[in-house]
Amino acid sequence: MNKVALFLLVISITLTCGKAGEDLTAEEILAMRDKNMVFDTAYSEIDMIITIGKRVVEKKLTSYTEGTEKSFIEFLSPARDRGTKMLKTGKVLKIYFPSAERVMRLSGHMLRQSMMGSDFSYEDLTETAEELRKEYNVKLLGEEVFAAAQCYVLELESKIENKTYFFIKIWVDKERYIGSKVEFYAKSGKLLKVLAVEDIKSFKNRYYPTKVTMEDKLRKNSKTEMIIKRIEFDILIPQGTFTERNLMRK
Amino acid sequence: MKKFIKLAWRNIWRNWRRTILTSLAVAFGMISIIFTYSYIEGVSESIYRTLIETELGHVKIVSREFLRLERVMPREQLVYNAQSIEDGISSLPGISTMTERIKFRLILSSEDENEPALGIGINPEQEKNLFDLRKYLIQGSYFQESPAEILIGDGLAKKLGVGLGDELLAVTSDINYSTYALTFTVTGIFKSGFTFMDKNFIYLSIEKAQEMLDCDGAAHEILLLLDDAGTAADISSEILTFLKESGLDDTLTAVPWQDNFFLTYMPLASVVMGSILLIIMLIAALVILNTMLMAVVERTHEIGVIKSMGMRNGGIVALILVEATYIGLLGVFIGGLIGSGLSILAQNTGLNFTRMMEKMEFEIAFFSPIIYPKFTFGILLGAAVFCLTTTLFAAIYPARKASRMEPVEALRTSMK
Amino acid sequence: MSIAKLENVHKVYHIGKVDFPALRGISFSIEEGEFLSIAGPSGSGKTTILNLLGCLDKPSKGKIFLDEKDITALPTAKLADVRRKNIGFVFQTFNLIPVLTAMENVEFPLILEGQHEAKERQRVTEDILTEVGLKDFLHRRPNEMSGGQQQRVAVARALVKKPKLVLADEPTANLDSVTGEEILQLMLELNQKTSTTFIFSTHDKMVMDFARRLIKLRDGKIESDQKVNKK
Repeated sequence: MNKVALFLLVISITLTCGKAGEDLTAEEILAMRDKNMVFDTAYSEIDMIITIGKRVVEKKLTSYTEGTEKSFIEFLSPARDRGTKMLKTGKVLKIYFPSAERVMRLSGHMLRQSMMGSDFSYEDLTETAEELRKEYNVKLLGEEVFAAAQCYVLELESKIENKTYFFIKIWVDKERYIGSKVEFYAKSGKLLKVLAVEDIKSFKNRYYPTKVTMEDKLRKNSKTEMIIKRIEFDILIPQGTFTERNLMRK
Repeated sequence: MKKFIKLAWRNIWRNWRRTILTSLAVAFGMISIIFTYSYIEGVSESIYRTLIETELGHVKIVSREFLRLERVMPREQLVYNAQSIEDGISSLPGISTMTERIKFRLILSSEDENEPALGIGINPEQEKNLFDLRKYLIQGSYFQESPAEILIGDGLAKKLGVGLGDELLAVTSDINYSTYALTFTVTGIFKSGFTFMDKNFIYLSIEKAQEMLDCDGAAHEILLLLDDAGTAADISSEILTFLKESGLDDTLTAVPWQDNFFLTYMPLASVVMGSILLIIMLIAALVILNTMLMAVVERTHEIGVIKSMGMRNGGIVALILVEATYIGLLGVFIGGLIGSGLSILAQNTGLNFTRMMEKMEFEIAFFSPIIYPKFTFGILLGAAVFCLTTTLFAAIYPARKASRMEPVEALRTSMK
Repeated sequence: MSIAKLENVHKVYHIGKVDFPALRGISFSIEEGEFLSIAGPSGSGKTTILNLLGCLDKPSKGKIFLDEKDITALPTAKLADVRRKNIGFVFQTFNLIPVLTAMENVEFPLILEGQHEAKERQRVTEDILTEVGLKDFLHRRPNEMSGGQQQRVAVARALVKKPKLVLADEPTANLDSVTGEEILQLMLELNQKTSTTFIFSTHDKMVMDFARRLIKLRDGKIESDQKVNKK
């Protein structure tokens, strides 16, 4: 799941503060955030809590991640979701549904659909930090205090016309180089989604956000929280994890 | 007036080309009005029928929330005890069919493509009394016994690259926000002519829809077909009373088809078209005004003579108005004949807009690409009255101008 | 008794900013059955007098009586009624209604009067057309007749409703002299037979010779007014 959060472009970690922040350019701030996100592998156990109006649905899942290109997710609960698995390799997402015993391959505009009923889209999960830096122009708007931390405020503008999020605004924590809040806008300037980091834990050699909340502003009274219950970095992932065969394994 | 009938009739033929031309202007107005209103009548009838068949029934029993958020289609807003409700209201007179539907968004996945679609879960036996999909099937057959059958619009089938017998994976989010998938076999492809429907709709059995949404025995809508569509409002209120008294479900409501917001816009269309026609008639009126004015000016001397014989001003006005009436009647006759003929012709052959609609970027949900105008005698009569009135109004100014000529001045004006 | 009377009648036309006095104090009286000619050079006021007597125009000053009633101040609609009942016109240019036949033209004043049955109307019309010698031309349109014939129709039209006064403005001006004389002869005969009063304007010596009374005008004033005795 750390990969999930990673792809969300939101979460960044830094081990050191490196040089003093005052004279950093926007590109450098973003690069520092991204550089510090890199790790070889990770395994995590996550609770996803979807709240729509008065209804609350809780889902449990596990995730394996390798680099920025590969991840494998399996849903454990509730009953109707159990056994649903997702394999991401590069820009392609494959989902296995146990009820149909079939794999669906998602790409292109279909990735904009809601992921498993949550406020995240599949696209939110598959986009990587490198793509972000390639496809957007970034500029530093200034500094602001967010959640009691001094932050850089970055604005990203898409170089491509038909990007789902044409503008992205990121608040990057000056201390830890974590994007603690992200706002996603359409080209019209309409606010589409807001992501906020609500909890950051310190691990052996890094900080990592362990609770993030996404709000899809197009859905009324809706939010999705992702809580990382357990995360292990740089573990040995079993051979064959990122294969279609693993996806279809009963 | 009687006095001038002969004189007026002969007067209009003094310059027969002008008279014919003027009456053709009236005729043109006549044709436009008749055709336009026949067209509007045809369109609205088609829209009403389609809406009733595909969306509204004559009466729809549905949760208030589902109705309010119709475009979002909140899948959890269900009619849970559909069977008890149907049993309860089956004693009401005038209900000919009751059928349940489930409507939900889903993703369809073929070997190569994924497409979002609108799934309609139906009870095939009852459904065909309301909306008979069989008449639109271009391939395959209507539901037989096998549960995993799916009927798909031809546009959607094309997008997905599937044909008869192919498998489709359908994925949706159920009422508890779990993601659920089933595989279906395409057993029929329909082409209704409604572009939106053909590009987005699939039909499946209500049992399979319930399985996908995880809502056994429930439906989003119960649609009623009545013996007499006019009784929809009465039956709706009886159903409301029943729902209240039985205490089955107080989140539900019963809606007669006339309440649909789309239908309330239909009169607006008439108004818009009406204003265009008003412009056409204004032009016709200007032609008439011009013609009559020319006729009056040309006959200045003669009008002087008639006045010298003791005709009062009112008589002159009447004479000119009778002449205008002749021209108007002539135009109404010609235009009525051509306009009715054209409308009846179009009514029988239909106007095909398929090509135009295919090029359109947006899709109008219930606008059939083949329009059959509907001609009525009411339209003919209305057009005739309107055109004659316009003609008379246009002739008032020339008539008054003629009547106000001083006879001495008029006589002094030399003859041509 | 006097059938028409003018008392010190003035008429001024306003042409642009210039006032043009057409009549300057005209007074005379006409008895029933007269055959009167108003003569004078053009611009002397002949037509103006006929228009005033014919209730087509109103004087600037002075009074006009028809049948001993003062019509000077009557409103337009009433003047139309007077014309319809009491006055027949014969014009220089005949002025028949081109779309109507001889018969229909003559019938028209009767239709306007609206007091006759259709059959009665047709009988009266046929009679008078026979009288003016057009028995065989009843259904001809004006453009199918000669000038003389047209003017005969016009005379018949003026007389058909048996008016008190027939006003003829230069009735022969558009006819050759032989035909002109025939028309005058016809009018004179009708005058004697029906004792209808005729007033006609002219500047033609031959026409003046037909008159039983001759009023000569010059510059809007009466130059002379004399009875002419003939056998």
